[in-house]
Amino acid sequence: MDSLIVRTATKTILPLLLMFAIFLFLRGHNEPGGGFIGGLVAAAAIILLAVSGGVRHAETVTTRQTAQRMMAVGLLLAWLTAVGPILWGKPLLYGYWPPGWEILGIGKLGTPLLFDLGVFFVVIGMTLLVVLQLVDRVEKR
Amino acid sequence: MALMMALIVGTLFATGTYMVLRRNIVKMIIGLGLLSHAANLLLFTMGGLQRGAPPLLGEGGAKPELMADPVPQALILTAIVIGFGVMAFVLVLGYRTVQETHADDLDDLRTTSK
Amino acid sequence: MLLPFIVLSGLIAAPFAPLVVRAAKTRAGWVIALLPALIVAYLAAQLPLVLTGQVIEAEWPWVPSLDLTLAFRLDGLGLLFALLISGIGTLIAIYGGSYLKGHPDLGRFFLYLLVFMAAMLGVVLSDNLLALFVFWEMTSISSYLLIGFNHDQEASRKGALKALLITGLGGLFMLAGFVLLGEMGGSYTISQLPTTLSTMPLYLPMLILVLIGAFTKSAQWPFHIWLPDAMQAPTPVSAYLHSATMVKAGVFLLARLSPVLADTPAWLYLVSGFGLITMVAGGILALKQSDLKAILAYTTIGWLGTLVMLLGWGGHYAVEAAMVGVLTHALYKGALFMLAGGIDHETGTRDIHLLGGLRRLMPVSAVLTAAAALSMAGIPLLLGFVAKELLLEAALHTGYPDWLGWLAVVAVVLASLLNVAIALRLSYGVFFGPERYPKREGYKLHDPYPAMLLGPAVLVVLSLLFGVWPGGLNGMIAQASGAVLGESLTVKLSLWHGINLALILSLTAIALGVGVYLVYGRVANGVNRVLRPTFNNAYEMTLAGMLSGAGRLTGKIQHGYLRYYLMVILVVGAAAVGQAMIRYAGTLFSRPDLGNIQAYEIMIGVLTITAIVMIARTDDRYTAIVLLGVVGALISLIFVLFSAPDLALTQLLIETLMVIVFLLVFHFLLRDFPDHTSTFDRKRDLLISLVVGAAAFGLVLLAINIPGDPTITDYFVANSYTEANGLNIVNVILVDFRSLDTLGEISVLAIAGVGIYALLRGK
Repeated sequence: MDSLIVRTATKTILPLLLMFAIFLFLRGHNEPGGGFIGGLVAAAAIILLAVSGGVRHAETVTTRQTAQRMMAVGLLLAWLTAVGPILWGKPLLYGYWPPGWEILGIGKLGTPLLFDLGVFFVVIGMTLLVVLQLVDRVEKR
Repeated sequence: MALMMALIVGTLFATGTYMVLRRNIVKMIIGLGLLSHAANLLLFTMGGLQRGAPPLLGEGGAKPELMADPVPQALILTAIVIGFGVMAFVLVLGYRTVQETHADDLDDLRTTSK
Repeated sequence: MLLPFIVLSGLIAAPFAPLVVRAAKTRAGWVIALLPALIVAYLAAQLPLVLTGQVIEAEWPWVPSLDLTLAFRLDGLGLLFALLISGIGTLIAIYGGSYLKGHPDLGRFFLYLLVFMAAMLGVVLSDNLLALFVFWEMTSISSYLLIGFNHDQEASRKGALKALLITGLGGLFMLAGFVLLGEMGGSYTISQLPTTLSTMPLYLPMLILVLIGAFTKSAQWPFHIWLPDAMQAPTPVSAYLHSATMVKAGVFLLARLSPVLADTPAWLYLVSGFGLITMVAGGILALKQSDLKAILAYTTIGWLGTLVMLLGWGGHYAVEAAMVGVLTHALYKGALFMLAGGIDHETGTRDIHLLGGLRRLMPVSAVLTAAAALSMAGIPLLLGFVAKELLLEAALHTGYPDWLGWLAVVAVVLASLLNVAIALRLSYGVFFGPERYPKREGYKLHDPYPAMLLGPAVLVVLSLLFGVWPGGLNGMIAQASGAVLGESLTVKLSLWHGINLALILSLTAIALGVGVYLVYGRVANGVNRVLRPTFNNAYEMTLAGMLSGAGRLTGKIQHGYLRYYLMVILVVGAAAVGQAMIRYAGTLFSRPDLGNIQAYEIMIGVLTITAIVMIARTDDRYTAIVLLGVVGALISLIFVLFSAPDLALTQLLIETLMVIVFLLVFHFLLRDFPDHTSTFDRKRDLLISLVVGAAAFGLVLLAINIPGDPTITDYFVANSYTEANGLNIVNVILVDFRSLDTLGEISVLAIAGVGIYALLRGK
């Protein structure tokens, strides 16, 4: 499981892939994309690194511990945006859009975006954790 | 295309069923994957097939009356991701089972004691 | 509004019982007794109101959609029972604390006891049928726990299970009856049920269902078999649940529902018939017992039969007799049980053949037992006499035809004389004659501790008080009987009615009873020879049969082969679709756009189908995985073609990941990819698969003919931008409209991740 070309190529394009993932995530509310797809692209980028260069290389970007934390943080974020509105007397998962908050190309900003960010992190964390752990086991054999 | 989709779904269900009934643990898991494809496509076809009219509003988008139904799409998207989680879990569980029991025949796994 | 709190106070206090025991040690019984004592005080404070015919009501909504409210209603009938429950409860708590002194599980005992008391108060004070049922089952469960209190003994466990099965099963029948009753009557509130129920077509089935519940609880023949076995319970429990309170729940239910259900021939003959048989059977079976508690159990069965019979007869003689009978029996039988417990505690045995002449060693017990036994025998100056006079009077005024009426009188006299004989055996036999008891080294037999004598003493004093002054009960009995009859009435109880037929019959019964006592041994032997425990055999056989039958069935159904489970599910599913296909066969291919297909779509379809079929045919697992990936990619292409860009992206990415995970896992698996199955199995599976596939094919064609409901879709399309500021409707559904589903989904995903991580750690 060691391919110099793929490894080098991946390392070069990794930042691009990660930026693309974030782009996909951000535009998701209006165009195809979103937390699931963005998360999967980001995870796939790092997994490519793991498959071509081993866990050691992948973990220079994201360690398994980080993956675990991402999963936890994402889940927490999603749950907080879900339960949070209750504190303000709103129903569960109420979406709040602060007036005037808008970014060109993304559109309005609101709590559903935070929720989607949670999804994004859970997807990255979960897939990375699983694949890195498997690759690690294969290497240790 | 609905007829073709019915054929694909039928084939997926038939093959999935056949694979799930195998005694080999890996074949069984592959069958599970096929069945989840089958269910997704069944749902997708039931929602009505529309060419070139994704459920996106905004300029250049299709008219709402002609637009593909977004509800089944949302359901299937969820199902695909959950399906991955389940498949990955079953695979790893299967691997650990084979490792612990040295058997990939489901019929050898009838008790929990060694 | 204090009433619901009073009823439920036992439940609130129960969890603290073990703490009280730990803190108060040997005085725990006295502390626990404070709660029932307070309830007695509360109830006593309501007496003046209730005695003037007023009713106290309180209601807490519980499950309003099911018409289930915690509605409580304190009328004369409820008050009589509630006073017995809390009053005797107080005495039992004190007695039990002493009886079980130093027992390691005393805390648990009081916990169960308080739960039981609350449940029992709930039964007698509920005004809602469903709430009554819930409390009713709570008494069954707490009774189960109390009978099985000594759970390290098999007999205890068996007795507890028997009681639970019989009363629990009866309770289920009763629930069915209650639902019928509530639906027929148009209300689940007992006090609002109409009196026209007996003219409705479902009256008889409903009555029978309710009666099964009442009869099992009140140990009526042939369901009486659980009560003797319940004597495995510690004696305080027997005294409280199995003589004074719980077994009277069935009697209470009959009394409570009398106003709406009685006054029909079916009620008269069913209720009084079973009651009469039970009355006689209980007396006769009691003769052959030699265990003190068993004797008391069978006489309890007999007396419960008497009460049921009286309520079956109806009319105010019988109902007054029943109400006085409930009180009388609770007073003397509760006392006798507690005294028997004391004797057991002291001598270490309850076998009546081993006991005799204890009056010098246990003088207080002797006096109390004698007084309670006299009440049981119906001797003047004790309340038992008043009860028996009323009973005989009622027997002379039944709604039966003449010949049956006289038979009833004979049966009542027979039961009375048996009671006299047994009462003599319990008191004279144990305390008089030559001294006899199992001797223990260095132990001087003496009366039990005062805490264990207080209860019987209070009960005996009350028996005597009301025996001498029955008029003191007039108001209470009038209100209770009035509630049963559904009319207001006045009652005049008195000691002396003049010389009449009832008195003569009563005296005859006493004389004959003494006669029977003199030849007791021979009578008991005769009974022993004739009667075999038939119903117990039937119970044992049914139970064993059910267990082995369930075992065999489970062995067949739960065989442990995944694929046979799957086959059943898939074939049944295919059959369900198949019958719909046959029904709508004409419309299957009716859609005009079925043939609307592009050339490249045909190619994709054929490719997909080929790849799928090859997965099943390949012998190489890597080929299978690559093909699975190809199928996924083709499906994502289909998503692209049919306007689902989000799905296409997700599918493609997931498919890639899936192939990676498969390949990684393959590193650890055996290299070969064997099928393990025989040719026959493969052919059979192929057939099943083709059937399932055909059904799925049909399902798609059926489904596209059914127009979907556009409401939800239209709502999302119309509001996606205005409400959620998003143009991608699929994404808006995921993160906003239906984000609860997504929240659940990512939680599952995270759990799967953690699960996989845990499986992959370690060696």
